[in-house]
Amino acid sequence: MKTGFFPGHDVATVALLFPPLVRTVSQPSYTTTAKSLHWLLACLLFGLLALGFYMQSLPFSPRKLELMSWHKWAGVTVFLLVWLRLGWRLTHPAPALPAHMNAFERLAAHGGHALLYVLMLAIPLSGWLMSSAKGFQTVWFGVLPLPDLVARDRALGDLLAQVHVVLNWMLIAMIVLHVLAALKHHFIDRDGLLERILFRFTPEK
Amino acid sequence: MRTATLVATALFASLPLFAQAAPYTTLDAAQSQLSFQYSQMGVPMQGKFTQFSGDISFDPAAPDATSADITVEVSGIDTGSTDGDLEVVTPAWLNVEQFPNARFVATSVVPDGEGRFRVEGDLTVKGTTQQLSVPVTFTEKADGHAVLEGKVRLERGAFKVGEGAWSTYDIVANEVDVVVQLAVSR
Repeated sequence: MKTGFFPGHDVATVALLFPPLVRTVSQPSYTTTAKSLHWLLACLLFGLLALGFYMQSLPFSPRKLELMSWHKWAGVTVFLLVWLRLGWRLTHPAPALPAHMNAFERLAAHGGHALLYVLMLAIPLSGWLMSSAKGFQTVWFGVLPLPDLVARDRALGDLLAQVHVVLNWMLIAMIVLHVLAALKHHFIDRDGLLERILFRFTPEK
Repeated sequence: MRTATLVATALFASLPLFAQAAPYTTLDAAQSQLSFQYSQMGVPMQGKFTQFSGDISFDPAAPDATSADITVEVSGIDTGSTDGDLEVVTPAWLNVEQFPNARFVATSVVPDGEGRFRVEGDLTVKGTTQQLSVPVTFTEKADGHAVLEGKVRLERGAFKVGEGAWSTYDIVANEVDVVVQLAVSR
Protein backbone atom coordinates (compact mmCIF):
# COMPACT_ATOMS: atom_id res chain seq x y z
CA MET A 1 0.00 0.00 0.00
CA LYS A 2 1.46 3.33 -1.03
CA THR A 3 1.31 6.47 1.05
CA GLY A 4 0.76 9.95 -0.33
CA PHE A 5 3.26 11.48 2.06
CA PHE A 6 6.27 9.67 0.69
CA PRO A 7 5.31 8.97 -2.90
CA GLY A 8 6.72 5.71 -4.10
CA HIS A 9 7.48 4.28 -0.66
CA ASP A 10 5.22 1.71 0.85
CA VAL A 11 3.73 1.84 4.28
CA ALA A 12 6.09 -0.67 5.81
CA THR A 13 9.16 1.49 5.08
CA VAL A 14 7.49 4.62 6.34
CA ALA A 15 6.32 2.80 9.48
CA LEU A 16 9.93 2.00 10.32
CA LEU A 17 11.05 5.62 10.07
CA PHE A 18 7.98 7.51 11.15
CA PRO A 19 5.80 5.23 13.26
CA PRO A 20 3.16 7.79 14.25
CA LEU A 21 2.45 8.76 10.63
CA VAL A 22 1.02 5.37 9.95
CA ARG A 23 -1.64 5.73 12.61
CA THR A 24 -4.99 6.73 11.24
CA VAL A 25 -6.17 8.17 14.55
CA SER A 26 -6.51 11.94 14.13
CA GLN A 27 -4.02 13.85 16.25
CA PRO A 28 -4.52 17.29 17.76
CA SER A 29 -2.49 19.62 15.63
CA TYR A 30 -1.16 23.16 15.41
CA THR A 31 -2.95 25.45 12.97
CA THR A 32 -1.49 25.82 9.49
CA THR A 33 -0.55 29.40 10.34
CA ALA A 34 1.35 28.27 13.43
CA LYS A 35 3.15 25.57 11.47
CA SER A 36 4.03 27.98 8.66
CA LEU A 37 5.44 30.58 11.04
CA HIS A 38 7.34 27.92 12.98
CA TRP A 39 9.14 26.49 9.95
CA LEU A 40 9.64 29.87 8.29
CA LEU A 41 11.30 31.14 11.46
CA ALA A 42 13.34 27.96 11.78
CA CYS A 43 14.75 28.50 8.27
CA LEU A 44 15.39 32.19 8.85
CA LEU A 45 17.07 31.57 12.19
CA PHE A 46 19.31 28.90 10.73
CA GLY A 47 20.28 31.25 7.92
CA LEU A 48 20.88 34.14 10.30
CA LEU A 49 23.09 32.06 12.57
CA ALA A 50 25.14 30.79 9.64
CA LEU A 51 25.42 34.28 8.14
CA GLY A 52 26.26 35.79 11.51
CA PHE A 53 29.13 33.43 12.20
CA TYR A 54 30.47 33.72 8.66
CA MET A 55 30.35 37.51 8.28
CA GLN A 56 31.92 37.99 11.68
CA SER A 57 34.97 36.07 10.53
CA LEU A 58 35.56 38.37 7.55
CA PRO A 59 37.97 41.31 7.53
CA PHE A 60 36.37 44.70 6.98
CA SER A 61 35.38 44.94 3.32
CA PRO A 62 32.47 45.96 1.09
CA ARG A 63 31.34 42.32 1.13
CA LYS A 64 31.26 42.27 4.92
CA LEU A 65 29.20 45.46 5.03
CA GLU A 66 26.83 44.00 2.46
CA LEU A 67 26.40 40.75 4.43
CA MET A 68 25.90 42.69 7.65
CA SER A 69 23.11 44.68 6.01
CA TRP A 70 21.40 41.51 4.83
CA HIS A 71 21.84 39.99 8.30
CA LYS A 72 20.21 43.04 9.89
CA TRP A 73 17.35 43.12 7.37
CA ALA A 74 16.63 39.43 7.97
CA GLY A 75 16.92 40.04 11.72
CA VAL A 76 14.30 42.79 11.66
CA THR A 77 12.04 40.49 9.63
CA VAL A 78 12.43 37.72 12.23
CA PHE A 79 11.72 40.20 15.03
CA LEU A 80 8.39 41.09 13.41
CA LEU A 81 7.51 37.48 12.57
CA VAL A 82 8.15 36.38 16.18
CA TRP A 83 5.67 38.98 17.42
CA LEU A 84 3.18 37.59 14.90
CA ARG A 85 3.91 34.04 16.06
CA LEU A 86 3.54 35.04 19.70
CA GLY A 87 0.30 36.88 19.04
CA TRP A 88 -1.04 33.91 17.11
CA ARG A 89 -0.08 31.47 19.85
CA LEU A 90 -1.74 33.58 22.54
CA THR A 91 -4.97 33.75 20.54
CA HIS A 92 -4.81 30.21 19.17
CA PRO A 93 -3.57 27.99 22.01
CA ALA A 94 -1.30 25.12 21.16
CA PRO A 95 -2.74 21.60 21.43
CA ALA A 96 -2.60 20.08 24.95
CA LEU A 97 0.55 18.21 25.92
CA PRO A 98 0.37 14.38 25.84
CA ALA A 99 -1.18 12.75 28.92
CA HIS A 100 1.93 10.77 29.83
CA MET A 101 3.92 13.91 30.70
CA ASN A 102 4.33 14.66 34.42
CA ALA A 103 4.36 18.09 36.07
CA PHE A 104 8.12 18.55 35.75
CA GLU A 105 8.09 17.62 32.07
CA ARG A 106 5.25 20.05 31.41
CA LEU A 107 7.14 22.81 33.20
CA ALA A 108 10.24 22.04 31.15
CA ALA A 109 8.23 22.13 27.92
CA HIS A 110 6.50 25.44 28.66
CA GLY A 111 9.66 26.95 30.12
CA GLY A 112 11.69 25.89 27.13
CA HIS A 113 9.25 27.44 24.68
CA ALA A 114 9.03 30.62 26.73
CA LEU A 115 12.81 30.91 26.73
CA LEU A 116 12.89 30.40 22.97
CA TYR A 117 10.44 33.27 22.52
CA VAL A 118 12.42 35.51 24.86
CA LEU A 119 15.66 34.77 22.99
CA MET A 120 14.06 35.23 19.57
CA LEU A 121 13.01 38.72 20.62
CA ALA A 122 16.04 39.69 22.71
CA ILE A 123 18.57 38.73 20.03
CA PRO A 124 17.37 41.04 17.24
CA LEU A 125 16.77 43.74 19.84
CA SER A 126 20.35 43.47 21.06
CA GLY A 127 21.55 43.59 17.45
CA TRP A 128 19.50 46.71 16.73
CA LEU A 129 20.86 48.48 19.81
CA MET A 130 24.40 47.33 19.03
CA SER A 131 24.19 48.70 15.49
CA SER A 132 23.05 52.10 16.77
CA ALA A 133 25.75 52.18 19.43
CA LYS A 134 28.36 51.43 16.76
CA GLY A 135 27.15 54.34 14.64
CA PHE A 136 25.18 52.42 12.01
CA GLN A 137 21.50 53.20 11.89
CA THR A 138 19.39 50.25 10.70
CA VAL A 139 17.52 50.96 7.49
CA TRP A 140 15.25 47.99 6.76
CA PHE A 141 15.95 46.78 3.23
CA GLY A 142 17.58 50.16 2.66
CA VAL A 143 14.14 51.74 2.67
CA LEU A 144 12.64 51.99 6.17
CA PRO A 145 14.87 53.64 8.77
CA LEU A 146 14.56 52.32 12.31
CA PRO A 147 15.18 54.87 15.07
CA ASP A 148 18.45 54.78 16.98
CA LEU A 149 17.32 53.93 20.50
CA VAL A 150 20.81 54.55 21.85
CA ALA A 151 23.40 57.13 20.86
CA ARG A 152 26.76 56.28 19.37
CA ASP A 153 28.95 54.92 22.16
CA ARG A 154 31.94 52.73 21.52
CA ALA A 155 31.97 51.00 24.92
CA LEU A 156 28.23 50.32 24.77
CA GLY A 157 28.59 49.00 21.23
CA ASP A 158 31.26 46.51 22.28
CA LEU A 159 29.20 45.43 25.29
CA LEU A 160 26.08 44.89 23.17
CA ALA A 161 28.13 42.91 20.68
CA GLN A 162 29.10 40.53 23.47
CA VAL A 163 25.48 40.35 24.66
CA HIS A 164 24.40 39.50 21.11
CA VAL A 165 26.96 36.68 20.92
CA VAL A 166 26.06 35.21 24.33
CA LEU A 167 22.33 35.28 23.57
CA ASN A 168 22.96 33.53 20.27
CA TRP A 169 24.89 30.72 21.97
CA MET A 170 21.96 30.37 24.36
CA LEU A 171 19.61 30.17 21.38
CA ILE A 172 21.73 27.47 19.77
CA ALA A 173 21.62 25.50 23.04
CA MET A 174 17.84 25.92 23.28
CA ILE A 175 17.34 24.88 19.66
CA VAL A 176 19.40 21.73 20.25
CA LEU A 177 17.34 20.92 23.37
CA HIS A 178 14.14 21.70 21.45
CA VAL A 179 15.07 19.29 18.63
CA LEU A 180 16.28 16.59 21.04
CA ALA A 181 13.05 16.85 23.03
CA ALA A 182 10.96 16.55 19.87
CA LEU A 183 12.92 13.49 18.77
CA LYS A 184 12.62 11.98 22.24
CA HIS A 185 8.83 12.31 22.05
CA HIS A 186 8.82 10.87 18.57
CA PHE A 187 11.14 7.87 18.96
CA ILE A 188 10.97 7.09 22.68
CA ASP A 189 7.53 8.22 23.86
CA ARG A 190 5.94 7.57 20.47
CA ASP A 191 3.18 10.01 21.37
CA GLY A 192 2.72 11.65 17.97
CA LEU A 193 3.89 15.00 19.29
CA LEU A 194 6.24 15.80 16.40
CA GLU A 195 3.43 15.21 13.92
CA ARG A 196 1.51 18.14 15.35
CA ILE A 197 3.93 20.70 13.88
CA LEU A 198 4.49 18.89 10.60
CA PHE A 199 2.43 19.67 7.56
CA ARG A 200 -0.05 16.86 7.07
CA PHE A 201 -0.58 15.20 3.75
CA THR A 202 -3.56 12.89 3.39
CA PRO A 203 -2.46 9.39 2.38
CA GLU A 204 -3.82 7.99 -0.89
CA LYS A 205 -6.80 5.72 -0.32
CA MET B 1 15.74 120.97 0.13
CA ARG B 2 18.34 121.77 2.76
CA THR B 3 17.27 118.79 4.86
CA ALA B 4 17.61 116.56 1.82
CA THR B 5 21.12 117.88 1.12
CA LEU B 6 22.01 117.36 4.76
CA VAL B 7 20.80 113.76 4.69
CA ALA B 8 22.52 113.09 1.37
CA THR B 9 25.80 114.54 2.65
CA ALA B 10 25.55 112.50 5.82
CA LEU B 11 24.96 109.36 3.80
CA PHE B 12 27.84 109.99 1.43
CA ALA B 13 30.09 110.88 4.34
CA SER B 14 29.34 107.64 6.09
CA LEU B 15 30.07 105.47 3.04
CA PRO B 16 33.83 105.35 3.61
CA LEU B 17 33.10 103.96 7.06
CA PHE B 18 31.52 100.88 5.45
CA ALA B 19 34.15 100.56 2.76
CA GLN B 20 36.94 100.67 5.29
CA ALA B 21 35.50 98.00 7.64
CA ALA B 22 38.44 95.76 8.57
CA PRO B 23 38.56 92.34 6.94
CA TYR B 24 38.20 89.16 8.98
CA THR B 25 41.68 87.77 9.32
CA THR B 26 41.45 85.17 12.06
CA LEU B 27 40.02 81.70 11.70
CA ASP B 28 38.68 80.39 15.03
CA ALA B 29 39.13 76.69 14.35
CA ALA B 30 37.76 75.74 17.78
CA GLN B 31 34.46 77.45 16.94
CA SER B 32 34.40 76.10 13.41
CA GLN B 33 33.07 72.86 12.00
CA LEU B 34 34.05 70.74 9.05
CA SER B 35 31.59 67.88 8.69
CA PHE B 36 30.43 65.56 5.94
CA GLN B 37 27.54 63.25 5.09
CA TYR B 38 27.68 60.09 3.05
CA SER B 39 25.56 57.04 2.41
CA GLN B 40 26.41 53.42 3.20
CA MET B 41 23.92 50.94 1.70
CA GLY B 42 21.07 53.37 2.16
CA VAL B 43 22.13 54.28 5.68
CA PRO B 44 22.92 57.99 6.16
CA MET B 45 26.22 58.50 7.94
CA GLN B 46 27.66 61.63 9.51
CA GLY B 47 31.32 62.38 9.89
CA LYS B 48 33.62 65.24 10.64
CA PHE B 49 37.20 66.46 10.63
CA THR B 50 38.32 67.51 14.08
CA GLN B 51 41.70 69.01 13.18
CA PHE B 52 42.06 71.86 10.75
CA SER B 53 43.54 75.33 10.66
CA GLY B 54 44.17 78.06 8.18
CA ASP B 55 44.86 81.58 7.16
CA ILE B 56 41.97 83.63 6.01
CA SER B 57 41.38 87.20 5.00
CA PHE B 58 37.84 88.04 4.04
CA ASP B 59 36.11 91.37 3.62
CA PRO B 60 32.46 91.13 2.55
CA ALA B 61 32.76 94.56 0.94
CA ALA B 62 35.80 93.55 -1.07
CA PRO B 63 35.41 89.82 -1.78
CA ASP B 64 37.85 89.87 -4.68
CA ALA B 65 40.65 90.54 -2.18
CA THR B 66 39.88 87.34 -0.28
CA SER B 67 42.58 84.89 0.59
CA ALA B 68 41.88 81.55 2.21
CA ASP B 69 44.23 78.65 2.76
CA ILE B 70 42.84 75.89 4.95
CA THR B 71 44.79 72.78 5.92
CA VAL B 72 43.06 69.71 7.33
CA GLU B 73 44.93 67.10 9.33
CA VAL B 74 43.25 64.08 7.82
CA SER B 75 44.07 61.74 10.72
CA GLY B 76 41.60 63.71 12.81
CA ILE B 77 38.72 62.23 10.81
CA ASP B 78 35.63 60.75 12.44
CA THR B 79 33.59 58.70 9.95
CA GLY B 80 30.69 58.03 12.30
CA SER B 81 31.79 54.54 13.29
CA THR B 82 34.89 52.92 14.75
CA ASP B 83 35.09 50.37 11.94
CA GLY B 84 34.98 53.21 9.44
CA ASP B 85 37.65 55.20 11.26
CA LEU B 86 40.04 52.26 11.15
CA GLU B 87 39.39 51.64 7.46
CA VAL B 88 39.39 55.21 6.13
CA VAL B 89 43.05 55.93 6.98
CA THR B 90 44.31 52.95 4.97
CA PRO B 91 45.99 53.31 1.53
CA ALA B 92 42.82 52.32 -0.34
CA TRP B 93 41.06 55.29 1.25
CA LEU B 94 42.75 58.46 2.47
CA ASN B 95 46.23 56.96 2.82
CA VAL B 96 46.98 59.14 5.78
CA GLU B 97 50.56 57.91 6.05
CA GLN B 98 51.45 59.26 2.63
CA PHE B 99 49.04 62.20 2.53
CA PRO B 100 48.60 63.47 6.07
CA ASN B 101 46.97 66.73 4.97
CA ALA B 102 44.21 67.95 2.74
CA ARG B 103 44.23 71.56 1.60
CA PHE B 104 41.86 74.13 0.19
CA VAL B 105 43.11 77.32 -1.40
CA ALA B 106 40.58 79.89 -2.58
CA THR B 107 41.24 81.34 -6.03
CA SER B 108 38.30 83.69 -6.46
CA VAL B 109 35.31 84.98 -4.53
CA VAL B 110 32.41 86.79 -6.18
CA PRO B 111 29.24 88.17 -4.62
CA ASP B 112 26.09 86.17 -5.33
CA GLY B 113 23.24 87.98 -3.63
CA GLU B 114 22.56 89.38 -0.20
CA GLY B 115 25.17 87.95 2.17
CA ARG B 116 26.01 85.22 -0.36
CA PHE B 117 29.21 84.54 -2.23
CA ARG B 118 30.53 82.01 -4.66
CA VAL B 119 33.97 80.75 -3.69
CA GLU B 120 36.15 79.04 -6.27
CA GLY B 121 39.23 77.19 -5.14
CA ASP B 122 41.50 74.19 -5.39
CA LEU B 123 40.97 71.25 -3.08
CA THR B 124 43.82 68.79 -2.73
CA VAL B 125 43.05 65.42 -1.17
CA LYS B 126 45.30 62.35 -1.35
CA GLY B 127 47.58 64.18 -3.74
CA THR B 128 44.85 64.97 -6.27
CA THR B 129 43.71 68.54 -6.87
CA GLN B 130 40.21 69.40 -8.04
CA GLN B 131 38.61 72.75 -8.65
CA LEU B 132 35.63 73.46 -6.46
CA SER B 133 32.84 75.97 -6.57
CA VAL B 134 31.21 76.48 -3.19
CA PRO B 135 28.18 78.69 -2.44
CA VAL B 136 28.91 80.46 0.85
CA THR B 137 26.73 82.54 3.14
CA PHE B 138 28.22 85.24 5.33
CA THR B 139 26.58 86.12 8.62
CA GLU B 140 27.89 88.90 10.77
CA LYS B 141 27.75 88.36 14.53
CA ALA B 142 28.46 90.77 17.34
CA ASP B 143 31.93 91.91 18.48
CA GLY B 144 33.71 91.59 15.17
CA HIS B 145 32.81 87.90 14.75
CA ALA B 146 31.22 86.34 11.71
CA VAL B 147 30.34 82.95 10.30
CA LEU B 148 30.97 81.67 6.80
CA GLU B 149 28.88 78.62 5.88
CA GLY B 150 29.17 76.55 2.78
CA LYS B 151 28.04 73.18 1.44
CA VAL B 152 29.49 71.34 -1.48
CA ARG B 153 28.99 67.88 -2.97
CA LEU B 154 32.18 66.02 -3.73
CA GLU B 155 32.76 62.74 -5.52
CA ARG B 156 35.26 60.72 -3.55
CA GLY B 157 36.15 58.87 -6.73
CA ALA B 158 37.64 62.04 -8.20
CA PHE B 159 40.24 61.91 -5.43
CA LYS B 160 40.64 58.11 -5.59
CA VAL B 161 39.37 57.86 -2.02
CA GLY B 162 38.07 54.30 -1.61
CA GLU B 163 39.88 52.37 -4.34
CA GLY B 164 39.60 48.78 -5.47
CA ALA B 165 36.55 46.93 -4.22
CA TRP B 166 35.22 50.17 -2.71
CA SER B 167 35.08 51.93 -6.07
CA THR B 168 31.89 50.27 -7.31
CA TYR B 169 30.01 52.74 -5.07
CA ASP B 170 27.24 50.25 -4.29
CA ILE B 171 28.29 49.83 -0.66
CA VAL B 172 29.66 53.30 0.11
CA ALA B 173 28.26 55.93 -2.24
CA ASN B 174 30.46 58.18 -4.36
CA GLU B 175 28.77 61.40 -3.26
CA VAL B 176 30.02 63.06 -0.11
CA ASP B 177 28.36 66.28 1.04
CA VAL B 178 30.82 68.49 2.87
CA VAL B 179 29.49 71.17 5.19
CA VAL B 180 31.84 73.97 6.22
CA GLN B 181 31.14 76.37 9.04
CA LEU B 182 34.01 78.77 9.65
CA ALA B 183 34.01 81.18 12.57
CA VAL B 184 36.09 84.19 11.72
CA SER B 185 36.98 87.34 13.61
CA ARG B 186 38.76 90.61 13.03
